Amino acid sequence: MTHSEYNQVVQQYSDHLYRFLRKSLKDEDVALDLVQDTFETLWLNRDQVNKESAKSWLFKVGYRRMIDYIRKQKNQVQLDAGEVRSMSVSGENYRGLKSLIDKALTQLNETQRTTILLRDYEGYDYRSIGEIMGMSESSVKITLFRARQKIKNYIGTLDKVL
Amino acid sequence: MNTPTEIFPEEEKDWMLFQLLEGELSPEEEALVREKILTHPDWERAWEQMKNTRLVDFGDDGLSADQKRLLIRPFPLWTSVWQKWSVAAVLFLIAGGIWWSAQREANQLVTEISKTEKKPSPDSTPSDREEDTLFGESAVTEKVFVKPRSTTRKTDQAPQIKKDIDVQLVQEPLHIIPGVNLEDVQFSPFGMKPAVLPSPLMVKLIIRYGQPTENRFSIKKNIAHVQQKINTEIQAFSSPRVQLKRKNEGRKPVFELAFNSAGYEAVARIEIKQELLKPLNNK
Repeated sequence: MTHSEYNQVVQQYSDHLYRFLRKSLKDEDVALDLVQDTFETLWLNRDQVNKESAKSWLFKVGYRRMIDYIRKQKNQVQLDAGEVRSMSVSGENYRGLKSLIDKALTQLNETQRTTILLRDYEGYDYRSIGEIMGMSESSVKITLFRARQKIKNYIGTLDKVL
Repeated sequence: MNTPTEIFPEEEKDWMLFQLLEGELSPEEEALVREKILTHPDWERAWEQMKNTRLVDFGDDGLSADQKRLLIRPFPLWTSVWQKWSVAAVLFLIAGGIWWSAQREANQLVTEISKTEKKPSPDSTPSDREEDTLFGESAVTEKVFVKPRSTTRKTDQAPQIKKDIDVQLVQEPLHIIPGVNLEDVQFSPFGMKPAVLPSPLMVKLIIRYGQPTENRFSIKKNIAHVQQKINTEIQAFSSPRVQLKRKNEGRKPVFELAFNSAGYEAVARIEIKQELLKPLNNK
């Protein structure tokens, strides 16, 4: 990958990677740090990465960095979901589909959230998602099914509340 | 229908709706499921909820321009080796041009000693000024011949007029060839003695550097002053030599003031006008 191609990749995929990490982590600052870290790694390895495969490479590295970060955080502090500002839910946040989906994503575990983000936002097929996450295609499919089922049930619960 | 073993029987509905959403059902399977959605309210509600599990891209989750700018790698000033060499070559040419220009200026440097020194100089004595008036310019006719220093030396060789040489020459005073003293000029072939010609002789010395057609300076003063000025001025030259040679050309008192240094040399031919000599000879 040339210098110019690297900058093109930044323009094309940095938004996608940032959204993926931010929605996975629900923390903008950490997501931004991971994006910068991931692109730094891409820059250092640009000779080994083609522009065509840069997106999946970015998501694979970004996902691994995210998992490392989550594991590190879990070792440090056992998060109380109720204390996390970005995960808190108020009545107003249920207004609108965007808020609804954001809230629904918080109901998923990391693997389910990552799977559905890669599937819906990035349009990856099961094989590509499996390559990024280190899973088989069938596992990806089951994980995605569980994720949608959980969101569906969550939305059904909200329908009853609202 | 493709149902993995992990799916429990009660999840069959969600599993089929999921596959419908993912587009993985065959046309026959899809028709069957859609019929159930149309005929069963619980299937219909479940399908509406399943459709809402698909994330929607609102397009407002990207990085800001500043954040994205941090990821961009600016192109370096020098991106390739040949560009570096090109710049180096240009700088080399510029430096060479500056050096050549400086050398050319040095070659053309003119040291004007007293060509415009018809008015008395501040360091000249009153007698000098008086004698200048007495003799005037017509008292002496000067002819200057410039000859190559040697056949092997280039005539356009740059004179070594450099500041550091000045210092060096100051430490090494002008060397006058032994036996020649400008103040003790004797004109014995013509019966002339200093007593006969007590006042300093007006001479003009033209020294041409390097290229004979340009850059010359002259001295037009009495001999004592010439010596003093020469001692001062030619210190800028490298290893200067001044030599006075008497010439016998008939009854004309002629002498040559030869000057040479590295790269150039000059000979001033000095003749005393005959009409000036007559009263002196008669005396």
